[in-house]
Amino acid sequence: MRDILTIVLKEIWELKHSIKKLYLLFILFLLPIIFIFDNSRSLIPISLFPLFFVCIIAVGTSGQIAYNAILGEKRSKTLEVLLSTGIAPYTIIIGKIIPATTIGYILSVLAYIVIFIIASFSKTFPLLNINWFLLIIPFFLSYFAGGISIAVTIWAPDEKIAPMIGTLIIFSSLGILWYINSIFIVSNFIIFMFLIFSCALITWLAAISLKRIPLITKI
Amino acid sequence: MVKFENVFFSYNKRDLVINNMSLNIAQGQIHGILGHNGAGKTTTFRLLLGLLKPKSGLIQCDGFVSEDRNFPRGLISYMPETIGIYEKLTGFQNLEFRARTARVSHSQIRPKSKELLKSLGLLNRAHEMAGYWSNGMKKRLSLACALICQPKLLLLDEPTSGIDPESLSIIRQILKKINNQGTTIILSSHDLNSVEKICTHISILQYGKLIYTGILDRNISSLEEFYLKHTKKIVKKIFMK
Repeated sequence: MRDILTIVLKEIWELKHSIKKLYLLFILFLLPIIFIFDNSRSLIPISLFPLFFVCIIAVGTSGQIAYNAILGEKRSKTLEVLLSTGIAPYTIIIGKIIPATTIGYILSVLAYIVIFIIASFSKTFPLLNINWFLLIIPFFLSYFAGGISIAVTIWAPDEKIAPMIGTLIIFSSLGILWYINSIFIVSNFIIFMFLIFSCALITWLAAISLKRIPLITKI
Repeated sequence: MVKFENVFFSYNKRDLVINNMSLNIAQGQIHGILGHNGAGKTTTFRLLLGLLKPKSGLIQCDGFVSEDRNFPRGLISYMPETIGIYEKLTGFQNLEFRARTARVSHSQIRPKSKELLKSLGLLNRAHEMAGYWSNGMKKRLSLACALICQPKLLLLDEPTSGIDPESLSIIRQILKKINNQGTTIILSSHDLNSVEKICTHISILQYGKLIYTGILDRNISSLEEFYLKHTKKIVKKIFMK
C-alpha cells in the first residue's frame, strides 16, 4: 500500500506540470450538451444515451492520461531504475492506473450532473435515475481503459502505434460489452462482476509484462 | 559481497552476452568494470539487480540470490548510464521519490536530501524542475538519488560519461567519501583516467568473457596500456583461430 501511494504521489507531481493540458481535458464533461439538440432519429436508443456518453468520457480520459505513465518512463529511461528499487511490478501498475482512473471518474460524475441538469429542462429527454450501477460503472471502465493503455505501452515497440492499438482494444471491449448486454439482457450484477474480473486480469497482464520488459524492449 | 558463479546469459538463442563469468567482489572495494561497447557491462548490472535472469549459473549479493529479487530495500542502489531522473520533477521531489521507494523514514528524507544536494553543489537549484538543468547537474542529481538510501552496494553505469571536469571532480570525491563509510562500489566506465584514480580493483570484459580481474596495480605505467595489452591478446587469439 505504501509503495502504491509513493507511485501515485510521483504521478500527481508529474501531472501537476501538465495542468494546462488537463484543464483542456476537463472540457470533455460538457459533451452531454449534445442532448439539447433533437435526437429522436438517433441510431442509439435515447435511454442508453447517458450511459453511452459517460462511458466514452470515462474511457477516453483515463486511457489518454495513462498512455504517458509508462511511455514517459521509457522516454526518460527511468523504468530500469524504478524496477531496480524492488517495488513489485503490480504495485507500479496499480499506482500508475489510479491517478488516471480518478480523473476519468471525476469527469464522468461531472458529466452525470450535466446530463441531470439537461434532462430536468428538456421535454424529449427522460429524467435519469441514477443508481449504484450507473455510478460505479464509469470507475471500473476508467480503470480498465487505464490498464489497457499501460499494458499496450509496455508491449508496443513504437510509441506512435501504442495509442492506436490501445484505443482499438478499449473500444472493441466496450462494444462487446454493449452487444452482450443487448442480446442476453445480462443483470447489472453480472456486468459489475465481469468488469471487476477484467480489471484484475489487465492488472495481472500488465504486471507480468513489466517483469519481462528488459527482454521485450530496450528500457 | 557480490558473487558470480559460471554465469551465462543471452538475449536470444544465438549470441552469448555473458559467457561463463565468475567474479567475486569483496565488501569495501571500488570495483571498475572495463570493456568495449557491447562487452556486457550493463547486462552484468541488470543481472545483478535481478532485472534479467541468467541462462545458467548463480549470482548472489550479500547472501541473496539476485534472480529471486528479494533484496532488502536500500541494499543495492543503481545509477544508470542514461541518468534516470524524472525531468518533470524538481531536485527535491526526485530525491524524495527515491527515498520513499527505499523506505527511508519520512523525518530523515528532507535533512538527508539537503545534505546530499549541498555536498553535490545542487542545493541552490533544488526547487527547479530537473529538466532545465545541465547534463553534469543531472548526473550529480542521479548520483544523489542513488545515495539517498545509504546503500551497501552502489552500481554506477558510466558515472563519468559526458560531464564537465568540475562535476567529475565532485563525483570522484563523493565516491571516495562514501566508500570510506563502508559502501561497496561497482562502476563501469570507458574513462580510464577516472577508473585509475578511484578504483581499487578492476575487471576487464571482452565479448561477454571476463579476461582479467584483480587488484589495480599501482606500479603499472598507465591503465590504458594495461587495458590494451590484455584486450589485444584476446583479439589476436580470435584472429589466430
